Amino acid sequence: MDIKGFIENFSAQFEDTDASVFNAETKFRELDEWSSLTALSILAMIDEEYDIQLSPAEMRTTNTIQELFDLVSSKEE
Amino acid sequence: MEIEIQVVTYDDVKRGVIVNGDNHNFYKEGFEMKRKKVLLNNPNLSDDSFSAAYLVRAEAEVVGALFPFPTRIKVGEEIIDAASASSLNVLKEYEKHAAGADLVLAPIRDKRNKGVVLADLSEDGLNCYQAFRFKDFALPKMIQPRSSKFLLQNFGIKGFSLSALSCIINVLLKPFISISLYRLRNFAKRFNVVRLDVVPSWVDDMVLKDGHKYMEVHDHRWLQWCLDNTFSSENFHHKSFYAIYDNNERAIGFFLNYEKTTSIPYRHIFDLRQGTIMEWGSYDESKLSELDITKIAISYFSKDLAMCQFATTNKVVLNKMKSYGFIHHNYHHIVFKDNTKMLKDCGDSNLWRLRFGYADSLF
Repeated sequence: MDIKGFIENFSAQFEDTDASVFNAETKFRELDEWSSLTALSILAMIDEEYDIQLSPAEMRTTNTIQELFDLVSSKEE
Repeated sequence: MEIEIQVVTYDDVKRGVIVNGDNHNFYKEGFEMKRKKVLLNNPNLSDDSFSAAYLVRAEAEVVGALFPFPTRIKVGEEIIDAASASSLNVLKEYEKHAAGADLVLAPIRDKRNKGVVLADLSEDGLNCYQAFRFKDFALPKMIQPRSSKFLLQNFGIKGFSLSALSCIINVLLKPFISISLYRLRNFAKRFNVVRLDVVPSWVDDMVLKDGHKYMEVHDHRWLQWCLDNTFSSENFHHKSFYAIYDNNERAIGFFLNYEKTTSIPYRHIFDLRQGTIMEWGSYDESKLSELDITKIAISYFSKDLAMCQFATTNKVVLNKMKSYGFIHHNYHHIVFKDNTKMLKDCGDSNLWRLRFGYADSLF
């Protein structure tokens, strides 16, 4: 599991936001496209790609993609 | 913002638990007397610790809700416990905080549910479940308009134009529908069709042994529950179960029709009387096919409906019913999530026994 692949998977869940917007420090909750739907898409992506089940509450403790990546990584071990 | 999920169990519901902070009446409306009676009568409710409501709270206030109920899914020879649900609602201003995600995930993350199945979803609800990669089975919906009025309303026509156009089109439409119904009733006369108030137990074999690997379990107990209960507060709503017998009085099939009024306020359509074929089954489709049952079931709807409908993936039925005035209009979505991650082929719609009357569609 690497941050580069995670960012690619993360950005693929957004339809209207340009991929160049996404990097490790992106505060995803501040994006215009952020909603329940994108949150669900990302939780589903993490479940299917990394076999990690995050709750929305856990996700809400993170602000940047790096923080979310770290949370998923910590559960993988 | 602190967002949390409150779980209300069926035991809480029976004990009349009071939900504080329900300022928008999510819980109150979800468990008003009629709905409460339906949900407590569920034959699959074998354990009162099952979740009856997931409430999303933000700053102590209820800002969204989902009302799950237990159902069962047949997988091969095994029957697994699953959840269904109705009325996913979240206040608009909390969508940005992903409050809807908590509700969609709640029945999935409940370990006792090996699957989650839903139907009859709003557009927003469908988007949520698609986002979480539920398997989505979209059954083409066929409607037979028996009056042109609601079709014209659907296109935004109202007032005098609506009345005038409706009259003109009905002059052509009504005779065509009358001829179609005459043909269908003549066809139905070949069979002995009997309306029953009690769903017979022979239905179980017809449903559960129909050859499909996957299905929501619609046995006689489940069908009886659907037949006897409703969420609707409208005056006009009734469900009818019919058994089909051959000349030797052997049961060869069944169907369940549902007639009710519906309204689509944003289209200015009110009190539309519609009939839907919700369920059907046949012992031997080479002797009594889906097309046969569809034709019979349509002929058994009331005469005063504004439209009737069914949904199927069977191409023969879709094509043949066009000659009786049916047109393809939209899709009926059924979504399924495999919580076990073991059902690798569960996304193949050909392996499913799919019917309009899934989940809470019959209420």
